[in-house]
Amino acid sequence: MPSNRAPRQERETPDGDAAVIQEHPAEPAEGSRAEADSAGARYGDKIATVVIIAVCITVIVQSLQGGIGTLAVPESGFWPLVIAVAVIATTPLIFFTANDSEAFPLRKMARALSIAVAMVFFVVLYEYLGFLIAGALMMLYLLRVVCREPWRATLLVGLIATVVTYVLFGVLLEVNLDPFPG
Amino acid sequence: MDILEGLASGFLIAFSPTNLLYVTLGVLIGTVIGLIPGLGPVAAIALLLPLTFELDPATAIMMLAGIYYGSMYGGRIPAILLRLPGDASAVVTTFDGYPLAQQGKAGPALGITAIGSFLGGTVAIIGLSFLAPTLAGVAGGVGAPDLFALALIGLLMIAFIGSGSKFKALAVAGLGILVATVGLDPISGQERLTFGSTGLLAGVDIVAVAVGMFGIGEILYNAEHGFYKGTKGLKLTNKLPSRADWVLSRFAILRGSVIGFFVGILPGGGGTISSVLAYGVERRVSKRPEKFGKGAIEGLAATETADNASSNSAFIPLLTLGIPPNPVLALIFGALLLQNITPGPNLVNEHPDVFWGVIASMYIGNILLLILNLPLIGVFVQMLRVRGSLMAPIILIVSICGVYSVRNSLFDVLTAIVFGVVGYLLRKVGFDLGPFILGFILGPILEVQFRRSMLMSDGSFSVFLERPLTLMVGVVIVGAIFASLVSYYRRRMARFKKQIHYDNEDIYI
Repeated sequence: MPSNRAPRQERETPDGDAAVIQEHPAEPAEGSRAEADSAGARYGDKIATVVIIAVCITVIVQSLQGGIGTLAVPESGFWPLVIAVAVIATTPLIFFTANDSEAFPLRKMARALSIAVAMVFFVVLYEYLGFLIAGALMMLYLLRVVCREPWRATLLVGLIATVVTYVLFGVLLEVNLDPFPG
Repeated sequence: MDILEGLASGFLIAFSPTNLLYVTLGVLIGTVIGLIPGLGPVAAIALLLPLTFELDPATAIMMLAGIYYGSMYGGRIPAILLRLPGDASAVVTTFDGYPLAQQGKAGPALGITAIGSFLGGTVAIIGLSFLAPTLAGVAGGVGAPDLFALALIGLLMIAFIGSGSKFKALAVAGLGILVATVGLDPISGQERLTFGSTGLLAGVDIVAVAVGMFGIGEILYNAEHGFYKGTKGLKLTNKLPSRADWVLSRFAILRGSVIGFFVGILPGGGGTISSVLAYGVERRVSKRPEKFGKGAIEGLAATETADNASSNSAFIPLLTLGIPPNPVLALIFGALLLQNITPGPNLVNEHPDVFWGVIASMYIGNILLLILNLPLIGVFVQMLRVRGSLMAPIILIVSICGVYSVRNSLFDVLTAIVFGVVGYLLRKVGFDLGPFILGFILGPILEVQFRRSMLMSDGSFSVFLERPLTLMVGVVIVGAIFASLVSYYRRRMARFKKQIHYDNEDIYI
């Protein structure tokens, strides 16, 4: 049966280089970075399992504090407790059998995660600057810094997309979006 | 109301100018989103979910259904032309689609898939029209234990039928259920797992989770691996399949329609399994199996037909039992809940406008897609020129506004960002995100029905053994687990035997 993974694909890296990648690629890297990347691939499943166990233990503690009741009259903590225990029961099987984690190329991951940081900044700036300015700033940062688009495309797409999005949501769908500060 | 009467009333609703406009918009937007390499139907629905909140329930679901099958139509274009599948089921499309495109037959390949998708979709909708009301009638007498068992089987089958790690699928589905428990206890109203945050009191919003995991997470993943760079010079010459193509494909389309229809009904079935199964059957019955993988148009036709047929028949368990058989339908289920409509056996009686309106709109949407996809295919292909690095920021700002629009809450936007990062990291460590959203949607149903069953039986599990449907579902679950274990054991033994064989060679050589 064919795998459901994507075949090799050619895409452009944010740096503009053509790269042949796979859905679960082995990232090209050198020296210590390569070692760090492959360590990420080796231990990714294990780290994920430990994090899942930690989350479930937190849920179990909280559920017990909230009260679990009895089988005849279950209380609010009962269901989360059952599910958390069931999830923990699957984790040894993941810990010892799974090995399909990707490599963790820190530089490229930092670029991806900087998008999330930019979005958080948008949320903070929105309170002070309003949607149009905060949105335009986020778009300009994403287009120019993360996506490495030329200035012309950055300005054109960044500003037009911000205004069009505001018109769609703020005007046509009447969402309570503050366009300007105050 | 009998079936024909119901259908007639559904067409009256679907043909109203507003509904017609939204169905057209849905299939058009769905096709365009499906065209963006890397974004599949789940992402398309997740990103556009907020746009439907202001709409009437029937209109909203018609539009979402349109986006669903529109994105499936759109997804075949980059899969065939560029070998860039938007989702797992489109991977099978690339097997013969891409070789055909390389042989200069992109036009006929796109044409035959449009026709196959239309025919497969139509067969499935006819089946849906007649089977769904009957099934809803049969399911009318189900109680809390039955609903619990049905929701459980829906969730477990995703894990057992899926092609990835079953344990990871189960764990991630469990995490989805846990996230759904945050907020107020649905029965006692007691606060739980909020960690003192007032923002979490109302629970985690489904739009924030869906947009975060499937929209923002996808962009983060693509940012790491490189955005699609856009393709210039794509030009289609002959756009329609020849008579020979049709002769080669007609029975493949027929078989694909039937396979897709039945696989779509199964929990955990849908796109990927139907595509793989239809492709395998076609290869087996073909008089020229050696052409498969090198540009067999009948293989491509069967795959796409089955894919579309299954996407339409997947509405049967959703509309009749209230069980979403795949992540896309789980999101549509969520959209119905947000409109204060609970899909299930009573939907046909309580909301006939939604039930019949959606079914009738699917006939219209399917015809619209054929009309759009044959003459306008050249226009859609030109959209592949747009670079992913230009699309990504636009998708992000629309995602933010979409999430914010649901409850005018910046907290929800932050939640979506957090789930975006979580989704990105989970995908990197090999967790499929589909079971998460299914767990999130089915979790509250499972909990409420389980607790009701326990209250009914005074805490005795015998309540699950006394009812025929529950017992049957239990047997299916145990059977699936047993089959899965046997398959795992056989694979392990085969690997072990191979290893011994090689070890012996090492010894004796």
